[in-house]
Amino acid sequence: MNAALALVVAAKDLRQRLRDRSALVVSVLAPLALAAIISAAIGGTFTSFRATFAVADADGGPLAKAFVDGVLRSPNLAKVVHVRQVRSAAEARRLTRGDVDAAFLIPAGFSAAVTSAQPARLQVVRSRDRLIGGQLAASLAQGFAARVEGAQLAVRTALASGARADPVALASAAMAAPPAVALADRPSGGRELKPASYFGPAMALFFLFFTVGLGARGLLAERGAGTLGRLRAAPIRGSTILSGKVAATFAMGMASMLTLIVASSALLGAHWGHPLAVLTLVTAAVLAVMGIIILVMSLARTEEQASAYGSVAAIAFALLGGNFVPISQAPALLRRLTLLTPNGWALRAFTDLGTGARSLSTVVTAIVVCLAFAAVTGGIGLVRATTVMAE
Amino acid sequence: MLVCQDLAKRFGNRVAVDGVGFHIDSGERYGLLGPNGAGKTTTISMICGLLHADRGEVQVAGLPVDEGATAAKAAIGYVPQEIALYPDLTGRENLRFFARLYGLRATARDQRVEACLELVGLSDRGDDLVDKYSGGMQRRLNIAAGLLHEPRLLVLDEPTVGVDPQSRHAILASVEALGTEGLAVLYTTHYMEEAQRLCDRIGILDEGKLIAEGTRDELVALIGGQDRVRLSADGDLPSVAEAVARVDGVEQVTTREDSVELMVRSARQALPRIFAATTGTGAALTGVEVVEPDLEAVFLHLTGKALRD
Repeated sequence: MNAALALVVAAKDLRQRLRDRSALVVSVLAPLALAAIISAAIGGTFTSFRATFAVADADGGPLAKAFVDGVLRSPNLAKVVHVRQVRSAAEARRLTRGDVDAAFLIPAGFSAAVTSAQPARLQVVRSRDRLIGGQLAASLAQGFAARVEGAQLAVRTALASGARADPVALASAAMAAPPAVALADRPSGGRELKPASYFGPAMALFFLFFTVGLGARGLLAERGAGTLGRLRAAPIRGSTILSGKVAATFAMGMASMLTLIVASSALLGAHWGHPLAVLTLVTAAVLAVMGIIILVMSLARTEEQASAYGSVAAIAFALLGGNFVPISQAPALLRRLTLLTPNGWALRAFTDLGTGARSLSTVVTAIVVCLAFAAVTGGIGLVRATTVMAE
Repeated sequence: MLVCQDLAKRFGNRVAVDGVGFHIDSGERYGLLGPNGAGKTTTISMICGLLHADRGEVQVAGLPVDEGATAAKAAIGYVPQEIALYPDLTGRENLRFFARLYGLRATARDQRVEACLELVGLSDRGDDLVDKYSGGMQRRLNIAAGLLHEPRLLVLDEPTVGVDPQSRHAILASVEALGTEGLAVLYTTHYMEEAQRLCDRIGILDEGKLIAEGTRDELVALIGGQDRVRLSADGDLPSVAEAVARVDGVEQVTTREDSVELMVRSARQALPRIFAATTGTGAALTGVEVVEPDLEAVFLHLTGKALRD
């Protein structure tokens, strides 16, 4: 193989790709746009859920106030729950038809009934189409009811033990006591995963199949156009032609990924992680995708067939690899299937890097898996491609 | 410059080339004439190292040619039948790319690119994308790409297929301008007039075999001074063919769609007998054409069929 002549072939291919606007769309614009759209649809983080609850407080007593101010407006829920107080139960019910996730209806005499150990009713009206918000409202009401029950139990126990304090004062003290078990809620990694930090790499890897496909189809395109014959008639070995095409394809894949890393960081605020680790992982991922695409396209007889086979492979690997649905939210079977795809491994590693996870074991494993994929599939694909050259 | 010996190539059960052998000297233009499917492109592919021959040997400038023979390939300029250019590159970029493949360095490369653009009359369009060229201009640039490295053997595979008459004339003029300074040219065509106009020697290829070879005059002499007579007629042409076949002096008869073609020893002497024979056949003669012996007649004589069948 003549490296200088391989670079001449690669430079020609890259010049052609740069003039092809579809290459720019597939390699940069489409993945960036899709990552932006999906990230915007999901919001700031995967856990950035917010619910709005309407409260119709016909009671106005201390327990109603304790529920609204102590539970719904507690600092713990400040980022999640927004409370909207309304004048009547009817208005609260009306709002559940689209404006709020759920409504709490506190009837008149609620506080008095609770403190006199009479049956009391706190009604939750859920919106039909906001299931998670409705479930949260029910949970909050059940939690409050449990605390009230606990306070009642504490008062009864105190009175039975001969305490002489005012039962209402005892109940207030019991309700004001901090929960026996406090909830500590923080992500397992260094920082919370932002959608852009997931879908940036996910879309970049998905479109990498198409970007690499543009280059890998080059050999069939040359054969279809008749230029392959002219190349083979030149004093240049077939291995040199093939090496030039592989080099151009690799350069396109790397350029696409690196451009997307910079653009998604700057425009979408995606976190990619340590540059050296990211560069190594990107290189391995590009090689793995090249191997798969070269193998798939070596099965094709024409450029059109190669394009179709490449698209099917891209979508299949993206579905299995978790490029469309976050792996963490996928069913158990799909989570296991991602381990069959280099893009799935790469995406796990990018997620770890993006959240600043200290352990690099996933990243190293992903790099090894990607390189193994590249060696096996690329090796077979290149052997098959040499037969395409000779035909 | 080029020596082919006993070349053979088979695709499955089909024999494409069977024992073809010829040679071309430096400065000589050699035409390979034959109908479509005769084996011209297969022969050229083996000469240029694109196909491995099942049998036989090719030498260019004393070097054996096969797929890995880069030294021999450097001596060959190949102009394929299809437009083998990159439409999304300019004419100049195409030529520079191919010049690099042949190892031309910067200054020499630029000089050769400009010289070849000048030769094919495209200097002023060199910076346009090939996609914007007419079919004829693309054909001319296709030839220029084969000349960049000043090859010792230029191989042109039917370079005028599918072009308009004006472009065809320009291409033939470009090829005529070559052939000096020792360049050997192998030109394949199924157009008899191109072979007659351009080539010093001609090989006639049919069904994979080289059935005759020589200068135009040598080939015409093969048919022994026979004239070709074409009788146009309305009516029962087979009965005309049957009647004239019995006439003294008529050597060969071929029935076409609207005429009957005869190979005749002396047309002047035979014509009265031919006219007489056609009377009573039920067909009315509408025209008579007497053609001097040419390569078309030679091919007809040797194979019993027309070149463009």
